[in-house]
Amino acid sequence: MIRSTMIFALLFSVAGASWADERTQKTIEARQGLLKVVAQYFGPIVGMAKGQIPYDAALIEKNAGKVAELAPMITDLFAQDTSSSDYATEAKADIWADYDDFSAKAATTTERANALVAATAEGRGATMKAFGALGSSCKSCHDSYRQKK
Amino acid sequence: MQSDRRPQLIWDLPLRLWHWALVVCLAGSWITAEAGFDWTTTHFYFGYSALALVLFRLAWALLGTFHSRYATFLASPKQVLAYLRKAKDAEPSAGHNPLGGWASVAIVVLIGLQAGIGLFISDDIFYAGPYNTVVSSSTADWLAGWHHRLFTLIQITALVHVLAVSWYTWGKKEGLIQAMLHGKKTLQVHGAEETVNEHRGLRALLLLALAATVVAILVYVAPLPDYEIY
Repeated sequence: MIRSTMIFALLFSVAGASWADERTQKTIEARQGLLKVVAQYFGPIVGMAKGQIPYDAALIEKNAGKVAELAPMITDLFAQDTSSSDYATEAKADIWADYDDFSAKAATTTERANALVAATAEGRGATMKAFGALGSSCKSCHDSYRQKK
Repeated sequence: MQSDRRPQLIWDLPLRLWHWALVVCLAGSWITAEAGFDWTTTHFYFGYSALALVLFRLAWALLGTFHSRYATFLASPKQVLAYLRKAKDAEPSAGHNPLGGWASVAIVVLIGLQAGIGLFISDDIFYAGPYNTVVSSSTADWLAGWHHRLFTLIQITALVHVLAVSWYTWGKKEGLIQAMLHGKKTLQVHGAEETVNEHRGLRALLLLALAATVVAILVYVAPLPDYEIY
């Protein structure tokens, strides 16, 4: 009796652990996917800022709008602390040690993406200034919370 | 003995200017890397300049004056070991000593490698080296890791270099640091072939212009990123 209880307990804990593992992996993949989508919309604006593709205010307005929609998902997907998992991730444990700061930085990114949408109506100078502000908000989070390579 | 020691020109003017320009590039790229986002473009220009300086140095290793040429100072491992054993009492070398010669090559290689790697990496957000598009993002990440590690190695190397030349300057009183300023060391008179009596300034200018052009073309012809637009 005791023996079969132990076997059951062991089986359940193994199953439970692998379920938690799978959940962690899914979370990490979703985060990486989200940030890749952000980069896809961000990219053409980078190209315009560098003069590699023609300036197009309408496209910036549209893409910045997408970034503003995507940015709030960052705090959704990072809510779960995965710092103790073995999966390869560049998310530093500091995210969860200082989640308020992480959230504040993500919120700043959303605000600045919205500000960029608004700035597209005010001409190229204002647009590029707002874009620089958005870029530096991305950068501040990467500097603090992305594992240095 | 004392009577035939006199100041002699060792380092031609282009080599000295090159040395201090490299110091400026190293300091500038360090400061601009620390200064963050707004200084990244300046950081790139320091890197391009460093790359051009490295190319110039390699050309000057063949076409410079006597003590600037690699063939005149690259010693065998045996000579380096022999020198190390008696470094404390060794007579001042006219140009690089057997160990210093290799150190100078190591520094040039390290800086060339560092600037070369810089062409392939990005900050993940806005700035990217001109050849970032030709490598996968995982390769770029791996190279970015090396860009950081190599810089630490360059810092250590520069520190060792400064300590070594300080020892030669104030410990052994050989005036090594002064020699990199005015070009002269006070030495026993050497054979005619080792005497430097010209700077080859025009040749140096042409080579530097050539090196800068090579780097500029390299940057200019780099493929543009392929942005997806929806």
